[in-house]
Amino acid sequence: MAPHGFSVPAAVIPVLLVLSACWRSDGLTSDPFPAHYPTFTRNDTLFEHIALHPDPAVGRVYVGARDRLFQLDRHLVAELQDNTGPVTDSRECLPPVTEANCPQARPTSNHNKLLLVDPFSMELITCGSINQGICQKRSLDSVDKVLFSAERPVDTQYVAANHPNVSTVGLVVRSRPDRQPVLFVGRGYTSSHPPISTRNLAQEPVFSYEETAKLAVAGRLSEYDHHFVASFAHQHHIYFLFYRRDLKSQSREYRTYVSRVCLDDQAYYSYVEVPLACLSAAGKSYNLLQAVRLGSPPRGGSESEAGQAKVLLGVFSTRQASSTRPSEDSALCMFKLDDLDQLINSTRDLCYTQYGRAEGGGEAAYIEYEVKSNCAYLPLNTLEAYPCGSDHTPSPMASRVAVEAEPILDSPSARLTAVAVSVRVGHTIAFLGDSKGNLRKVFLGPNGEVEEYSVVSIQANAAISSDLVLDQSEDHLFIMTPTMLQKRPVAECYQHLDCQECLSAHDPYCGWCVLEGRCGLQSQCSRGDQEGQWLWSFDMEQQCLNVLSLSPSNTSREEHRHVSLSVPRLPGLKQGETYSCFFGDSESPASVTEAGVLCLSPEFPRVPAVLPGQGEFK
Amino acid sequence: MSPLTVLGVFCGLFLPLSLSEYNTHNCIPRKSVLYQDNMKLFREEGIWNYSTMLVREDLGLLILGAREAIYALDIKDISIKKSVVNWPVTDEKLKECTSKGKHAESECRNFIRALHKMDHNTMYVCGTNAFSPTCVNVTYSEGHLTRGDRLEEGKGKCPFDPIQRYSSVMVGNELYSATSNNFLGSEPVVLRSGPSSLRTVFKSSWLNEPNFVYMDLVPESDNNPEGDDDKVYLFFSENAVEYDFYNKLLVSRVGRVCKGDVGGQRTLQGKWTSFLKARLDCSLPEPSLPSIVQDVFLLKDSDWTKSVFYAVFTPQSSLSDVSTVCAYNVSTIGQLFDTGKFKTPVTVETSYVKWVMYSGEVPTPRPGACINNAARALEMTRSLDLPDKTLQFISDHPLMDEAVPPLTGRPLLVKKGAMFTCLVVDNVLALDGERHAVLFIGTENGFVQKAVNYAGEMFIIEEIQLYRTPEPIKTMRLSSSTGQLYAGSDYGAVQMPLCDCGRYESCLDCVLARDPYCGWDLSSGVCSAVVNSTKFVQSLKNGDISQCPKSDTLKPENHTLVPGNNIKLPCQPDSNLAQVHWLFSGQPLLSGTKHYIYNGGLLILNASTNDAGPYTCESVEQVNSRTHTRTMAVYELQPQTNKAEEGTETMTTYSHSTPLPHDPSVLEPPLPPAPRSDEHRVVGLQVSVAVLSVMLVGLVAWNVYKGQFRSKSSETSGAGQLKGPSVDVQRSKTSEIKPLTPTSSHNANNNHSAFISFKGNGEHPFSGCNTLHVDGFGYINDESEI
Repeated sequence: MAPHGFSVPAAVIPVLLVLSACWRSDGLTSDPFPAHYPTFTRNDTLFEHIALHPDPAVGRVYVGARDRLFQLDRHLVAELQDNTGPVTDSRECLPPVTEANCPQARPTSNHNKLLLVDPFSMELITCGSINQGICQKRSLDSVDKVLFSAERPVDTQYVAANHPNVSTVGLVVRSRPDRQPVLFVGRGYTSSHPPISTRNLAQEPVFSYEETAKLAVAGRLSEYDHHFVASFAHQHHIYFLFYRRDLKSQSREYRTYVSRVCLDDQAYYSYVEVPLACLSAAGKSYNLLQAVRLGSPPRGGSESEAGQAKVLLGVFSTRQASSTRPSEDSALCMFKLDDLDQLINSTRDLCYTQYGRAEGGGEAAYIEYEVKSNCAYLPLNTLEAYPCGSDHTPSPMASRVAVEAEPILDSPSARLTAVAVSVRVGHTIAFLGDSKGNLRKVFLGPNGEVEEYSVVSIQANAAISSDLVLDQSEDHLFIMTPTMLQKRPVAECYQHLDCQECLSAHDPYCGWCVLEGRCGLQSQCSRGDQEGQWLWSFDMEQQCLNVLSLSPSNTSREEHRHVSLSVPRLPGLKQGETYSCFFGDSESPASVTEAGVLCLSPEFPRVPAVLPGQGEFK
Repeated sequence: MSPLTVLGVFCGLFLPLSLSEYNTHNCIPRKSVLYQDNMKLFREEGIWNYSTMLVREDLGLLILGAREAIYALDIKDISIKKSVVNWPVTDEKLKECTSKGKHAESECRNFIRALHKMDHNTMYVCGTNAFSPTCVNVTYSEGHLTRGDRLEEGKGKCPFDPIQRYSSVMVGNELYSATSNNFLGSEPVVLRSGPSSLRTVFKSSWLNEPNFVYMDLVPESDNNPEGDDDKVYLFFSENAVEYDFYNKLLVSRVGRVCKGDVGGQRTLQGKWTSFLKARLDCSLPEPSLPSIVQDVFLLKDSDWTKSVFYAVFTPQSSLSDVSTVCAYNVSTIGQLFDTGKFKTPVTVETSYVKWVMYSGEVPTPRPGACINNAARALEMTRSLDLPDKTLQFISDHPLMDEAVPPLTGRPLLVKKGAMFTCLVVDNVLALDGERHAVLFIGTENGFVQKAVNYAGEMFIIEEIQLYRTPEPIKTMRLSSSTGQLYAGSDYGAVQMPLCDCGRYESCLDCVLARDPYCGWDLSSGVCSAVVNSTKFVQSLKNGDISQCPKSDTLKPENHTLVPGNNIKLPCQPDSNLAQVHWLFSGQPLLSGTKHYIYNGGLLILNASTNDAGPYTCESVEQVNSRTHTRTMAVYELQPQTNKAEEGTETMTTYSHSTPLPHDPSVLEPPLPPAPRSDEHRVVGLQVSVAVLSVMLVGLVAWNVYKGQFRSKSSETSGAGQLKGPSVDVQRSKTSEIKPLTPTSSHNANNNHSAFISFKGNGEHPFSGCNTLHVDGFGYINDESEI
């Protein structure tokens, strides 16, 4: 088979460069020093939250840190900084704190508890741990410019937890384009403030829940001890994820819950809470949610992506028996949002019309938080007439039944602390951060395949913050530790210079773009969605194109004749496009045959030597 | 027969328990006045729930709120309707309400729940309005009630639910209300509406599923050395937080807010800064669950420190039927709030919270205190100026550590039987110049207990049946100026005079009644309302009858003794508290196989010639260990001269007076004619007596245990079948074997209708009013089902 007739340096190589456009992607190839990711580090503070400018073209990044706020450009170069602390404050005192009304006040660090973009009024909302967690509105263009801050705030304007270790989550949404946007807040327990509330952003008193809504808890909040993990809006609802003590159980163990409220529900009549259980087959309960993300197909994604079910990926930990801190033993669980919604809806339906009893007669739905109300036996048309409840429907509802899932990945010795999700065609990628400073990439296939295909150490022994976010195009990932923020591409296909390298990288993002001769994302390969054009790196059976055989294998240099090259899986071409064979410098047009291509060998002395197997596609 | 036996055993089992539990003596009303047809009643066909009242003495009206109607009634005679204004729900509201799963008739109507006096001739009226509470002004002018056009949102001022307890009080033009603030009834609120609206914080440490009962203002700013503020007191029951209990445990509370409160500045803005509450203690001597406050009345004194709250309580457990009354001094409550320790929540293992006494430092000014001189000295003139520390403390610690003790350290009144539902108290100036608080207590079976406290001992002067059928009394109002009491129930409103001295016919009865309203008028020889001008005999504390004119000795009544017959000699004491003693030839008679003494008289079984002779019935009544004996009747049984005819009656009943031709008291049992004393009869009689004895023992035991009969059926039919305009028909529901006694009059001039069924199974269709044996059995059946 060895084509002895060709000289060594110049291989036979049929290659095409029919298409003239340049298929270079900004993200993947613009960085000339791939090892040097945009990185922002500070040693004098602790990074706590990150927010992205809503306009991807601006690409600005905001970082909320202890006593600092940073405004960074797309390369994570600091543009502005505002010093927010330390401030003379005390957790026992109400703002404004003065020497007279609060002699115990001491210089206190201001931890950033909430950093949110209001995309409707294009403002940044920041809430710190000092001054009872009051918030400010800031300019997105200059983070140090405070647009609003209540001078004499009242307690309904206290938003965030006033403790560095107690989390607060939030989201700015509006139920309809003609409505004012509101701020939904989930606030962990520090003192008796409503765990979930809706804050108005437009009228005085700004940030207050007085005229909007709150989750009214009749019982003692300290007994529930909420810890909020995340909130997100989807369609007409807002969801909160948190763990709290289950007071209905004997042990009062912490348990994770997801709650849902209709976006335009001004009184939380529609509030439903269901337990979320991440249970191993052996019965181990990962009860403490650490981070969670809703995996939705990217906006403007293809139709097949939009049809894909939305999933909720959560990383859970267990609790060390002797302490209140979560242990390192942790796991990843995946829930379908549809399943959650279904249980929430059935909880509501049973509570409205069946006294909360399931078919077998057992209690499935009940009224939580010691509110003096009971599931009812309302007419069946209530469900249709009041899908989001009304003043006469019982609330706040809760489900006895949990949505359960088995861990799809466990991490016994490094607590999973962060999760980001990217839903692709046919599969999902989970980016996980752990307490040891690793970024872990997990492939989740359509048939339940789970494969952790990459572990990258970001910063040794620095826990990855749960604010692990993808940019709007989902090309980059912002990875944060207490002292470092790094922006990395979701995959670095361009590093792989040839097909073999590209395929052996085994990265689900990457593939060899045959006609362009590059390693890259499928979306960046011009005909990537066509058969044989983009060789998926993650596919173990995928092989690079090569010349299997030449026929004739030998030919005299003098002879000017047709050479047949056998190239399996050679991608087809459009009309008017052709392959060419290069024999050294000499090009000859190739005609596609069933097995490969047929070329006319160049005239002597232009024929280079060819070694077997060296045929190459570029 | 077997149900009776069972009952006997049942009661027997309870006997020791019940006897040890209470000295039931003081809970027995001295007199029991059954329903009288001349009772002034107001009701209109098709209208129910006469549960809200407002006395407008200035307008001469009783304003009555019912279902979808507001009435103006003549204050002197409420059966006279002066005007009515209807306030129905709209079809739209009704439809919306029913679509929300509420009942069209019992819930989705406009139940008038609040009536408050405004300026001049105006009333502020709130109704549930088909679960969407609404308020409106109603004016009375030129004999007509008119409803204003401007409807106000009633949320928080009036309950959504017509059956939910609630309370409100109008202070100036500001309405203080305690109710639930939402459709579901899950959000309680104590609200002051108006320009400076204030409310409670929604958390369980403030109000834990409360049941609001009563609110009133105490003008504590009057002559107050501390410069303190007027206060609104609130009585309610709620789930306790301070006890470790396997289940929800209710406790009674008194809470209060300051009238001048305007809320806090940075925290508690729009919320009470002066809401404090404490447990109300009204505990029985023996261990029991805390009793639940049902209604309260503030007996106002011109010196507010001497004002007293009277409260009725019912047991928490359905196993008990002991109602109590406790009184609380305003100043005692105030002192507890002003100086008492607070309770504080402490987290124990796995986040359980225990409430314990707070022993740390209490901020200054004292949390929950009104703005007083001490606060003003710190330049705090409004609650807005209060420091956050004080406000944060009160927000977390509204509950006092100690309970408010009752005035005398224990309940004023303890009574078994029909549950107390409400009360009003009148302050009566007696002949001795002392003022006495007379309690009028409504019960769930439509009676009013009229009680008074003499030297620490409670005395129930009488009980009066206000409704023909047992109706829980929902509300009561007092008009001292007209001397009338008004009671409302679902069925209708009734009016009753505070006193009816004419009921006491003898001086002895009048004095022993110890009714502070009444005295024996020596000049006219009748018992009448005391007036200073004439000479009256009244001895409230001691029941001293020495000033009564001596009564003539009774002339014996002669009767014929028929050997072999059973003879009944009627004798009914004036008082339920009196014991009846029988003397035969001067020797005391005891109940045995031969004689049977019961409340209606004496029964001589199978009389023989040995039984001939003089019989004397004495009523013995004790007041403060002083014994008053009064001869009620004297009989002379004379042996029969001629032999009895064939077909002799099995029993002979004599009466004081000559029997009327159709006097049903002369027993003519419709036994088969000519039963000719055969064995059958004797055996039957013996069996009957046995049955009767068992039954009596059972009933006595049950009576003692229950304190009072609560048989609806017996009272209903018993009262309902009284013939004619019988006056002062007396029937105790408390003393022994009463259910077996027929209704009878204490008046010697009236016919005695006495009857005992020997058959005990009610198989005889007796004519006339004497169907009480049936009632008796009905009663037994009722109770044995419990």
